[in-house]
Amino acid sequence: MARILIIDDDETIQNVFQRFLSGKGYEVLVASDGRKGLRIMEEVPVDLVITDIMMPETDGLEVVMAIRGKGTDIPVIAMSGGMHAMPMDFLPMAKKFGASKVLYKPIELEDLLAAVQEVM
Amino acid sequence: MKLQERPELKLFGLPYEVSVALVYLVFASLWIFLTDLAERNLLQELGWAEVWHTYKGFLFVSATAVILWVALRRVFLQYRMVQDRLKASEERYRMLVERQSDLVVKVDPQGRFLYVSPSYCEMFGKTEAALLGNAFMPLVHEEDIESTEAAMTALYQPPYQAFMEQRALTKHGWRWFAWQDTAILDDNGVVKEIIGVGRDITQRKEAEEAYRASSERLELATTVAQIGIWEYEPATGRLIWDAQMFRIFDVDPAEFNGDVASWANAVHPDDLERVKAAFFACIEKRGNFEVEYRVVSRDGSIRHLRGLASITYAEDGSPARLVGTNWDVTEYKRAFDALKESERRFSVLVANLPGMAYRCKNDSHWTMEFISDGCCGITGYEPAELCGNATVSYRDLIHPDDRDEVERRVGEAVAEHREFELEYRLLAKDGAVKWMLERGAGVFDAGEGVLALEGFVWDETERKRLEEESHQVQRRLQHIVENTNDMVFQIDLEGNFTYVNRAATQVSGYSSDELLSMNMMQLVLPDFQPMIEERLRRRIEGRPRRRIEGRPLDGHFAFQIRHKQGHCVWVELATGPSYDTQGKLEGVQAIARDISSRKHAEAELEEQRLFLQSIINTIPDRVFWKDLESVYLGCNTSFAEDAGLGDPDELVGKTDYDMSWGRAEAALFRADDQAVVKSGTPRLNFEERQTRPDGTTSWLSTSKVPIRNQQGEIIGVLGAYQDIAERKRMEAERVRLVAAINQAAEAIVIMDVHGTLQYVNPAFEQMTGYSRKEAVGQNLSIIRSDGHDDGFYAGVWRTLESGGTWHGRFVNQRKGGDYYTTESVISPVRDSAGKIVDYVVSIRDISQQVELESHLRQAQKMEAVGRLAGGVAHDFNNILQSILGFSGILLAELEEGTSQHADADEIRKAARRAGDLTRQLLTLSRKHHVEYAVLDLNEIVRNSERMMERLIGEHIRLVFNLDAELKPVRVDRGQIEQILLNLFINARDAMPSGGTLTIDTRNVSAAEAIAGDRTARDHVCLCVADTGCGIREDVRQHLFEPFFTTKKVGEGTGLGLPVVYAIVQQHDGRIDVASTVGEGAEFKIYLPAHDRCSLAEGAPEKSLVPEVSPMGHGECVLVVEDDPSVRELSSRLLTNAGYCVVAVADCGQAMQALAVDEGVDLLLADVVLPDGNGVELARRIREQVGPVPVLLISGYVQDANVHDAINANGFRYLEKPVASMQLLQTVREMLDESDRL
Repeated sequence: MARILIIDDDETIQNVFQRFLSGKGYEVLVASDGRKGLRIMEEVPVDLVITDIMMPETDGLEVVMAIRGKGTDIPVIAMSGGMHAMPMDFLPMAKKFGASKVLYKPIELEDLLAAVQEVM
Repeated sequence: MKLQERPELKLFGLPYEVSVALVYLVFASLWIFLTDLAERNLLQELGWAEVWHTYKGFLFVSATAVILWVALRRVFLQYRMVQDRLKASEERYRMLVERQSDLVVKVDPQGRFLYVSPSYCEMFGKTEAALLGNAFMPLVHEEDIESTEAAMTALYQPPYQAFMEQRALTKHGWRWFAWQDTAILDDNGVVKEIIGVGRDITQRKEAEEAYRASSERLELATTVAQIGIWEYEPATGRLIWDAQMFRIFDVDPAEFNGDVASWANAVHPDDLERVKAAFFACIEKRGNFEVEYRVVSRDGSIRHLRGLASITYAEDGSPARLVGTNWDVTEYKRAFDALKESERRFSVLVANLPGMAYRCKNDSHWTMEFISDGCCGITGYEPAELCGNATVSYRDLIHPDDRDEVERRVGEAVAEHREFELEYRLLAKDGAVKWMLERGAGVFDAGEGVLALEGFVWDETERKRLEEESHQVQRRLQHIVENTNDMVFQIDLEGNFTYVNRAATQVSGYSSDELLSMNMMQLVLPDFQPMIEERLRRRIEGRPRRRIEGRPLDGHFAFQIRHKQGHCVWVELATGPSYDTQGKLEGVQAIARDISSRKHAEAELEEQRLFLQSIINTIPDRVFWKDLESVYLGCNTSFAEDAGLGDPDELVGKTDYDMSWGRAEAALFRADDQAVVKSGTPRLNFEERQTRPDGTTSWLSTSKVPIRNQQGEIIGVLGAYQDIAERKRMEAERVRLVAAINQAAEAIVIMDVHGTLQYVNPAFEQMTGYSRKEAVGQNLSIIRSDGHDDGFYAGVWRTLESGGTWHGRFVNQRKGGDYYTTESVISPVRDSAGKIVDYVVSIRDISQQVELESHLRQAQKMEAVGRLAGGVAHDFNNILQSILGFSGILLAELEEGTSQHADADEIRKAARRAGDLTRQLLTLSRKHHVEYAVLDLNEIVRNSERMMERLIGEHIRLVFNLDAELKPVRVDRGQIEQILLNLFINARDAMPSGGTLTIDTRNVSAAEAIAGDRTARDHVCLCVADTGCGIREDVRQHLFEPFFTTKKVGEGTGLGLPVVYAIVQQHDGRIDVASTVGEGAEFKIYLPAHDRCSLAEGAPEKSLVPEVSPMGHGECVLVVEDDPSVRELSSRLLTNAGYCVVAVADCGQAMQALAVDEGVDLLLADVVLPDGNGVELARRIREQVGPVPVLLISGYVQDANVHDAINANGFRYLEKPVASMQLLQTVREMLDESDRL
C-alpha cells in the first residue's frame, strides 16, 4: 500500500485530503509544515509527497528542493491557493525545482486522485 | 724697390761673433772639466800633479790662441771675398750709368742729390760737387713744381714708381725732360732714396706745340665763321669732317661713319635728292658744288645751310679729292623771312583799316599819290580812280559847304608845321553824304618845302549817328525820371542827397533844395535806420547777398520814411552803385516807390493767411504743399511735428532729402509729387511709410493733389496724410487673430442670437465633418446628438440669454454619425450698446481624453477588485478546497437519489461557482497565470464552435467570416476562449428571440486607423456582432465596470465583460464597442499580430506581457555568506530558479571571484563577514564593476551607520531568516528594476 505524505499548514485540508485518499486505499501521513514533513520522511519512507507551497518556516519550494537534494525521485505534487495574490506565481517554479505536478486550489477530488495516480 | 741684401759673414751657420764666443766657451768649459778630472784620478796617481800645476796655465793660453786663430782666419777670408764681389758689382753699375745719354740721378726723400750722372752735370753745366747735397726742385720750372711734387708723392705708394714731364733750367735755358722715377725701400719698407732717369724731350714738345697752335687757329677761324670743312675721296668713298661740321650738322662724332650716308642722314628728306644730284654732278661733270639745303638736328629743328666745294684731280685726270665748306644761313633766312612777313602784315593792316591812308600833293586838288584800299568802302571809288585824279579829285569829293573850311585849316596846319585834325562831310560815289574824321600832316623836304600831305581818314558817319541817338535817349530818360511817380535820387557815400527827382519831393514833402541839403537817414524812421545803414554799407562794399524766400536782391528793401508833414510812408527801395568817370564809387543811385497802399493790402492778406494757416493747423491730418521741384513751401503744425520741426516756417525751402526720412523714402515721396504734377490728377489714399526723427516708422494714408494758379497751370502739390499706424497694427493683429483661429486645434464658431452659424474655423470642419460652406447659415443644432435631452439644451440657452457664459460638456454627433464628447465654452458678444449680437463658441474635442479617463477609472477599479480578491484568495481557496473536498467525500458516502446526496451536490456546485468567481476576480487583477503561445486565432474560434453551438442554442444563427490569411497572435489559449465564452453568453442573452451572431476575423495593417492606437503595429481583429437589442449609451459607458450588470440577480456576476477587458489589456490589445439600440452590438477586439522578425530583434516582450514569474534567466548572482549551510541553501535555491551562482565565504574571495569574472548582475551578501562587512564589499564591487544591484542579508543590524549606508547607496536589505520565495522574489524584482534603468 502506497504511503502518501501531505504537507499543508491548513489542518482542514490535511483532514479532507487524508480522508479522501485514505478512502481510496492509500496510507496517508500529514505534516503541518515543511520541516516536520521532511523529518517524517527521514523516519518513514513515503511514496508520494503532496505539499502546499505557501507555508511558514520551510515552504513548499524548500521541501521540493530538499527532497531532490537528497537525490530521491519520490513524486511530489505541489499545490497552492494563494499564488494569485502574490506578486509572482511560484507554482510553475515548483516544477522547475523538481515537482512532478502542480495543482491550483481549489482542487476537485477527482483531479487530485487522477494526479496521484498519474505521478505514482 | 728693395736692393739685393748684402751677403752676411757666418761661421757654422751662426754670425761670426756668436760662433767665436761659443767656440771659446765650449773649449774653456771642457778644459776646466777635463783637467780637474785628470788631476784627481790620473795625475795624482802618476805623480805628475806637480808638473801639471806648473804648466797648465801655459797650456791653456796656447790652446786658446790656436783656436781663435783658426776661427778668426776663416771669418776674415769670407769678409774679403764679399768685399771683392761688391766692388765688382758697383763698378759695373757705374759704368752702365755713366755711359748712357739719359740723365741719372739719385736723391734722398728730401729731394737732395745723392748721385748725379755725368750727363746730368753736362746738361745743367754744373759739377757733381756743386750738385750733391743740394735739392733738385729749384731747377724745376715753377709751372711744373706742382706736378713734380704730385709725382714725388706717388712714389710713396705701390708700385713705388712715377712718370712725369717737367721743364728744368739747363745751361741751354728751359728744356723739357721726361723722368721715370723709382723709389728704393729699406728693410722696413720705408723709402730711403729715389732713383730718377730723365730724357730731354724739348724738341718733341716744341713740335707738338707748333701743331697745336696751328690747329687752334684753324679751328678758331672756322668756329668764328661757323664754316665746316669737309673732304671727300671719290676713290675710297671716305668723307672727313672737321669739328665745326659736326656742330653744324648736329651729329655725334661717335655715330659718324665717315661716308656720304652719314651726311645724307642729316639732310632734310625734301632736299636730299637735290643735294645728292649736285654732289655727284660736281664729281662727274667737273663743275663746282654750290647748293643751299636744309638739315634736321637731333632735336627736330631745321636749319638752313649753304655749301660750296671744289674738286682736284690726280695726275691721271681722275677726281682725287673733293674739298668743301658748309655754313649755317638759318639766321639770315629767318631775318629775311621776318622782313617779308612784316611787309605783308603791314600791307594787310593798311588794307583792312576801317579808313583810308593817303599821300597826296599839297595842290588845289589834293592830287592823290597813294591811297589805301579803304577808300573803296568809304568813297565808292577804287584807289586807281583817285590816284592822279584819274576819275575824280579828292577835293571834289568834299562836301561843297565844307571845302573852304578844310582848305583853310589844312593851310594853317601846314604853315605852322603841325598836324591837322578835320571833320567834314564827303560825297560818296553813290551820292551818300558821310562824315569824315581826318588826321594828317605835311611832309617837308630839307629846304622846308612841302613835298606832300600824309594822313588817315576815318568814316565817322555811324559814330555821329549814335551820338545823336544817345542824346535823344538821354533826353527821354531825363523826362521819364522827372515824370515818374517813383522817387529817384542819388546819395553820396555819406548818405547825403546829391540828386532828387520831382517825385522825391512829392513823396517826402520836402522841396528839391531841402532834400539836397539833407541826409537820407533824416527821412528814414529810426527803427529802419540800422537796417538801411547795413544794407547801404553792403551795397557800397559791393557785397550784395541773396535773401531767402525768393525776395528781391539785397539792394531792394522796404522801409518807412517820415513825410515832412509827420505821417509815415512805406517805400520800397532799389539801389545800385554810382561811379564817377574814373570808375570810382561815388555814391548810390536809388529808386524808392511809395508802397503804402500795397503794404495795407499785404497786411490784409497776411491776416487772411494767418486765418487760413490756423485752420490748416487745426486739421488733424498732416498737410503740406510743395512747388514743382518738390521744395516745401509750407505745412501745418502737425506735419512740422512729424518732421521734427518746431515751427512750420522751418520747413520752407527744404526738400524731402533734408527730412528725417531716408533717401529711399524721400525719393518715393518726390516721385509721388512728380506723378501728380505730370498727370495733373490727384492721387488719393495710398499707403506709404514714413520714418520719424526718433527713428520710428509710421504708416500713412496719403493723398496728393496738384495746386493750380489762376491760369490753371500747375504750380505745386498739396499733400495730406493720416497716420494709420494704429490701423495697420490692428489689421496685423486681426490677421494674426484670424491665423490663430484658423490654426487653432479647437473649433471656433460664431453664431447669431438664434444659433445660426456665421463663421466656423477649419478645426470645426475637421471635428464635425461639415465644411464651412455646409455649416454657415445652418443652426448649431446640426452637431447636436441624442446624448442630451431638450431640457439640457434649453438650460444652455437660458444661461446664454441671461448674458452669462456657458461652459460644459456636450456629446455631439459628427456628420458621419459618430459621437464625440466636447468641452465647450459659449460666450456672448455684445455691441457698443451692450446688446448681445453674437455668440462665440469654442469647442474642444475631448473624446480621447474622456476615453482615457474612462480607461483609467476602469483600470483603477479592476486593480482594486483584483487586489481585494488576491488578498483573500489564499484563505478563500483553502476554504473552498475544504468545502469542495468534504462535499465530495460526503457525496461519495451518501446514496445517490437521496435528498442528502442532492443537498451535498448543491454544496459542491456552490463551491465550484465560488471557485470560478475567484478566478475571474483574480483575472481582473492580471495576476492570473498565463501561458503565451503563438497561435492561429481562427483555429481557436473553430475549436470553440461546438461549445458555442451548445451554449447559444438553435434559435441563433452562427456566421463565421474568418480571414484565411490571418496573421498569428501570441496569446493564452484559455484566456482567448474565456473571451469568446463571455461574448457569446452576452450575445445570446441579447437575442432571446433569436438572431444572427457573426464572428469575423481579419488583418488590420498598422496604417489602418484604429482610434486611439498609440503604436503603429499590425493587428488582428476579432469581431463578434449580434443582432440583438443593442446597448444604450448610458449602459455602454459602464460596460466594462466590474459587477455592473443589466441581468437579474443570479443571472450574471457583472464580471464577464470586465474579464474580457482585462484579458485584452493583458494581451496589449484593445476593445471597441459599437451598438445601435434595437439593431445589435458589435465588439471588436484588436490583438497585436505576432511578428517573428520583431521577436527576433528582441522586441520588448516583457513590456507587453508583465513578467510574473520569479524565474531567473541565467543572471549571475554573487553570494557572499560565511555560514556554509545558509550559503548552500541560497546557492541551490537560486541555481534551481535559473540563476548562475558564484558562492564565496568572505570579502577576499569575493574580490578574487570578481578578478576572474566581472560579469556580476547582483550581489547577495551577508552584512557581517569574517574579513569585513557587506556594505564595504558592495561599495568596492560597485567601484570596480559599476552600479550592480546589492541585496544585503543579516540576522541582526544594530549599527545605525550600517543602516544609513544601506539607505544612502540604494541597497536592499532582508532580515534573516529569509523565506525562499521572498528571496527569489526580491532578487527578481531587483534585476527587473535594474534592467528598466
